[in-house]
Amino acid sequence: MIDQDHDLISRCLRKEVAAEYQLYRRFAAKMYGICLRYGGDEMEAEDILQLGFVRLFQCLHQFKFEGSFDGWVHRIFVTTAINYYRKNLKFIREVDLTEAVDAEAIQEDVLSAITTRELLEIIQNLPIGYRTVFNMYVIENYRHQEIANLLGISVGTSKSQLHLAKSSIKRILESRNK
Amino acid sequence: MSEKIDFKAFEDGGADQFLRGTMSGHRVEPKPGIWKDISRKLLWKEFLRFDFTNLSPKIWITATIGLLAIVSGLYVGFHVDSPDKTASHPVGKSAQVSFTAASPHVKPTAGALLNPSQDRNKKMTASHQADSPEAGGLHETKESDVSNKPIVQAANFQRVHGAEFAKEDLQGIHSFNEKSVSTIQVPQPVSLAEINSLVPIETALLPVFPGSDTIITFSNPTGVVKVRKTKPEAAQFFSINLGLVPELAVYSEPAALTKANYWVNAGITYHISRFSVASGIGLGYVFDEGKYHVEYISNDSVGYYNNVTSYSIGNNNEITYNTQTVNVYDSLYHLDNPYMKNRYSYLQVPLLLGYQLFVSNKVSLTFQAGPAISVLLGSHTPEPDMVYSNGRVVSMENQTPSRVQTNWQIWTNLYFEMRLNKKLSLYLDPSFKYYLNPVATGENVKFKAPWAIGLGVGLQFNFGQKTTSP
Repeated sequence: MIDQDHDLISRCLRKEVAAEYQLYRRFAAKMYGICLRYGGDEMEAEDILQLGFVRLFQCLHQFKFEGSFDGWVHRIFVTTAINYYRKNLKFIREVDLTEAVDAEAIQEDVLSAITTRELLEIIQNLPIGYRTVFNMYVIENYRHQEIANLLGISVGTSKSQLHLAKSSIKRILESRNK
Repeated sequence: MSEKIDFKAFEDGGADQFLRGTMSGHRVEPKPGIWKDISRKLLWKEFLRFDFTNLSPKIWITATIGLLAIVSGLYVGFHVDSPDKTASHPVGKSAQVSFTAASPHVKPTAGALLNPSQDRNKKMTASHQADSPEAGGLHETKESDVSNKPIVQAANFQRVHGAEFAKEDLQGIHSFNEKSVSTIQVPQPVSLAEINSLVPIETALLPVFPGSDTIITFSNPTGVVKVRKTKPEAAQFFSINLGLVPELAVYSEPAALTKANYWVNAGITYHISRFSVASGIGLGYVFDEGKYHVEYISNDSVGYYNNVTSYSIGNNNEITYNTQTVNVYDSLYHLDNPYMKNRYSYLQVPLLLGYQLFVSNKVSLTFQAGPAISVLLGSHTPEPDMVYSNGRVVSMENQTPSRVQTNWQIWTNLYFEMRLNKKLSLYLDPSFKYYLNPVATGENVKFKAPWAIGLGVGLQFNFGQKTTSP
């Protein structure tokens, strides 16, 4: 696999269009899944996907073959998605967590009747701040300090956004379940 | 797409883990047209970086055909539109006779001296419009190889040596002037006595400089005549130019750097004799470095230890340990200072005063100098790709100095013009710009004003030519 990656990357670096397309085919579906999570709708997700691939090809020479290529590509798309919304994210506000609904426990029965597609739609419909922090913390496993640094917000804001995101998801799931 | 969630994952961990497991591997096939858009964007990015390796043969062929069509169109357009292939100097037409010749020795010009009634065997080469309908009856030969254009005033004829002119020769001047479509205007038929009384010119052919006399040699069977043109009248006319300027900017502080900039300049120049005033606008990309400070954590190997997996006691109570090497990893902070290529777009407006150092019928050289102002229009400052192998970015700080919004420069150049025809010139324009103040500011960092050298190339269009005197 590593040899295949090496060969494919080398061909892409030589600007072989066929190799670029091959790389695109390999990652398109998975990366589009990420973009749909971060994007508010399909159009935004497609924008992020395009930007991500352009960025991927432009900084392909920076890959040092020291780690997983898949992981490296994944990080590029997450970073692209974060940057896509970075300007808007500066304006999200910190919310007092004592006022927030306890959303830690999203129960199995709430999720019992929902598909992945529906869950994705719920995430997409979250406000941009909720959605981004939720994706970064829950799905990408970032810490609050890292999220705060990357998004240019405070740790408190990151925590409150996550809490509100979970509250929203829980509320939506419960309302669907009724 | 509509698969049910795997609740086993939910049971194994908390909600976060369940959601992570469910969503992180979610795959959705994008629309088929996305790759075309990506491919187009990649191509455009490469084009902007002057990387043409990925251009398809179709684009190359189309561009080549387009370029050829434009060049052909320009060539045909300018040649068809100018039946008068004379007069390269932008001097008024009303008072001059314009001859063309490949060298100051105009090979017999003398359509102007040829009487239509003369013997055809008198081989005199006509310089003017021999193929024009009006002049068709006058001349036997067509002279299309004449290209240089000294300008003479008929009133300044001086005979040099050779035999005296016959009367019909002089009549020939008059006849020619009346019927030619060229710009000849001889006041009246010159009398034989008048011509023969002219003082011969002693000097040989003078070099053609503005302000000096121009000597043209005529030859006919009766001898050689040289005609002197007195100092040309001061010409006033406009010209516009359009060109590209690749430029090399040199920064000395805080770091010694050279950067390539690219300008598209459009200018207008008003010429008064040897002097000129030029202005215009230039749009350019100026490149500089963007500096970032990145902190990231990576899970690095910090050493190893030998883990005792088992031991055995020998007969002599010797203990033998079986060990296994275990690598130890830890999250370590790293610092990185990546540099990015920033691009700034500027509008520049110069005001240049020029003095023509040299001019001939084909080329001229003008020195120009003056102030210029440049205004920052926009900037493209990409952030570094925060992608580190086995690492995760913690913070990123942009340490790129701020660009100054407006900047003044002293601008000098040598404007070398090569005339392709009466209206169109090609120019080459080596220039030097010295910035009067630094282009960037930063806290605790001293910046020095840069300087730049450039080489412009483009086309100049002359129009609205007129003289100061009627």
